[in-house]
Amino acid sequence: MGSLAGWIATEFCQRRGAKDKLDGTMGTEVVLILLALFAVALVAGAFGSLAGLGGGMVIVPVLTIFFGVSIHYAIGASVVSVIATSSGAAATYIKANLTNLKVGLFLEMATTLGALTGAFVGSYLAGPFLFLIFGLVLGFSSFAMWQKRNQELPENVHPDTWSRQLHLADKYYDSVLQREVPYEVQGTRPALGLMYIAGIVSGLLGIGSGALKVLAMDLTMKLPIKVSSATSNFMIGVTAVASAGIYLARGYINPYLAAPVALGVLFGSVIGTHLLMVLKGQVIRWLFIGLLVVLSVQMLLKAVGIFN
Amino acid sequence: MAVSPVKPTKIIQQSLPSQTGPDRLLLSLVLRGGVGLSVVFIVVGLVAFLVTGQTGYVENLSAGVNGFITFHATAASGNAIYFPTSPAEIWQGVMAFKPFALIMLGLLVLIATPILNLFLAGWGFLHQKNWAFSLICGVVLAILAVSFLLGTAGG
Repeated sequence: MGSLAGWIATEFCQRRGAKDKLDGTMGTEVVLILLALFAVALVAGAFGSLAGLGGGMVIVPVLTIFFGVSIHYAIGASVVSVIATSSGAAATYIKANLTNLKVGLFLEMATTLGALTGAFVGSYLAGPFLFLIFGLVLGFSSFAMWQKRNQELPENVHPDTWSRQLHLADKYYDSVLQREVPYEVQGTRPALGLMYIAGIVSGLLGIGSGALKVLAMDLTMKLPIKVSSATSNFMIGVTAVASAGIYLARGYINPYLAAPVALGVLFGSVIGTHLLMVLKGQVIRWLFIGLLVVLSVQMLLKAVGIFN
Repeated sequence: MAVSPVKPTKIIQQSLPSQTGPDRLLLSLVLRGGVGLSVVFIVVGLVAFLVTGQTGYVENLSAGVNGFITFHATAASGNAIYFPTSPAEIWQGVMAFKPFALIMLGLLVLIATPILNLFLAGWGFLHQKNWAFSLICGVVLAILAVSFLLGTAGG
């Protein structure tokens, strides 16, 4: 069987009996499949906009495993979903000044360049090796994040030269703490390096690499977790646009799949942005740690060839 | 850090333009507009597809559940389902009110939205004579342009 879509359709058909087969137009089954796609995308969008991720790692496996979609079309739909999450959420985050536009744009230079590099060197790198590195990085990061689990806002931040020269410091109004939170930015150079790697990873694996982006901003730049999430959200849209052009030209952005996914993700991201505003930073951090553990295990399993 | 419960906090409702930069309201509005427009096209295209049972490109979608399963199988994995990918062809399809062309137009608008946003941000920085960030926006746009060119050339 293998395909959830097919299963729903046949199940539905049997329940209703063969007598009232539809004719003339596409029937209820199509609506069911589209609704199922929409629902999956809704969850991916809500979670993605909350954690600063594109939701690609939810969309791609679900589409391929449960809906029997070929990997290229799945990645095409996921690229669209990343842009949708990003744009849907960024509208709110930018207005609320949760997004640090300057930090986002500054780092985006490294990410887009990395994505370009990834597209070039992809074939020279061994897949399992890459998954191993990625899995280990995510594993260590989840540990680093766990150590900061009780910290609502970053402490002891020492802005570097570039941070001061480019005036990266900013403030936002935290509706949970009910006060304005001013923050400084440090570690601009290591962050650029990490973002370049994040870009390579997204170029290679076709994922938004939002997880790596949030990590770089959280651990090296020491931004408040809400700002890291919101800024990553803004960035993944820009990075995804680079791959979107390629996937569109190659015919991998299939309207039948991308339409319900885009709509679902858009509505989901609206839900996610509202959640981010009202949740505590620590809750978001915990969500993110859980996600990192799952991802890193998934990557390590891929590295040893157990899970595809 | 322990948050003391009795700490008097001043409640300031609106966050202030602290970091100078492009007009955030404008950027937000453009994002919302782009997303809204794309939703309209996608929804109209989907509804048209469901009502007519036609993609606008495939002649014969056989009816019934079996017909649908075949359609899903081909649409999800095969090359049998045709849809336009170049902007020119998408536009022609939209003019003819073909459902899948409408959806593709919506997706194009969605992809174009972050690019437009980058242009506006760059323009905002230029306006404020913030050369460093005008340059940064320019670099990002240039890298995107290169990847688009490589994508079409390599495709």
